[in-house]
Amino acid sequence: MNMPSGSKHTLGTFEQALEGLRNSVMMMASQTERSLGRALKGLMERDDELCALAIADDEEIDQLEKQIDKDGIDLLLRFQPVASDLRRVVSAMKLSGNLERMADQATNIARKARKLNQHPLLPEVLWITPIQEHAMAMFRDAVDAYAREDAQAARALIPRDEKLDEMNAQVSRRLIDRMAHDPEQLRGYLNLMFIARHLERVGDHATNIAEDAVYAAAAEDIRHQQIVASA
Amino acid sequence: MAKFDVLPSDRGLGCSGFASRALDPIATAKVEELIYQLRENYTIVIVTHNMQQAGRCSNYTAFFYLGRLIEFGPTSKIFTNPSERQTEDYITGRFG
Repeated sequence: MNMPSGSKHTLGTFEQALEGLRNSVMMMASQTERSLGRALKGLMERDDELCALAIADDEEIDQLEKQIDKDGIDLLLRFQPVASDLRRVVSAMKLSGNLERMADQATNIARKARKLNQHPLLPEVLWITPIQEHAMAMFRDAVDAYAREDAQAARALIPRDEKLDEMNAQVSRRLIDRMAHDPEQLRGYLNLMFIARHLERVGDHATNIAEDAVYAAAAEDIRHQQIVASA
Repeated sequence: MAKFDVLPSDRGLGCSGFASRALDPIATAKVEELIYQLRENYTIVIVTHNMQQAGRCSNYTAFFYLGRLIEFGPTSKIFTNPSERQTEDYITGRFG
């Protein structure tokens, strides 16, 4: 005889608590994406107001991280989840930490952008664009894989971080070369180097989110492994 | 009080109905401590619907449904990543 099976818990309050936690994480991801978008637009369009908004977003995102941790602990305490439910709660709490650090990177980028905006435009700012596009694509794909509980998509994202590291290293080398030729713009070039570095860190956090998505969906810990990019 | 039904075996000890009894925390702790001591030398079988206690006390867990064995494996595996959908549904409370 087949056992009755359902996708929902028999205890409705447990189902609601899990759904609430997931919704909070998705809201936090959306706000983090908005904050990064504002910081990067503030840089590219030399808009100090957007930079100020990105910096102000951080406070709200910090509070969301605390709320998700509190809700997660409350859920562990009240319902003692196991198996896929336990993995969902643990990964939600870990995800919020990574999102909070990404929002910190948005704040860092916005601060550097405001400094750059005080001086004449450096054409080299355009070197940041491909790094920005790559990092933001990684961020969106990682959150999407988590939301869809798609372990395969999450796994596929990991090797993309290496390309981002290479892009950051390449731009850093070019900027150091510029510094040698034009020491007057040293501070500006340094700020651009920091911005590239912050975007590279966004990629690292996207990788962490993808690893947590694999754990949540497939119960597999793929951290600290060498994954070779498939051809 | 908890009741042990000793099986007619020199290596096995059955413990039926143990977890369903409404013991106070001190009595529960004493019974569990006894299990930890006995399991060094004996195989102890506990039949329970209390998932927390099963996770705490056992090295291996078996899930039965209507007399059929659905899944058996290390407790840590069963409670983090069971292989069978029926086990997952039961321990996560999707079927009670």
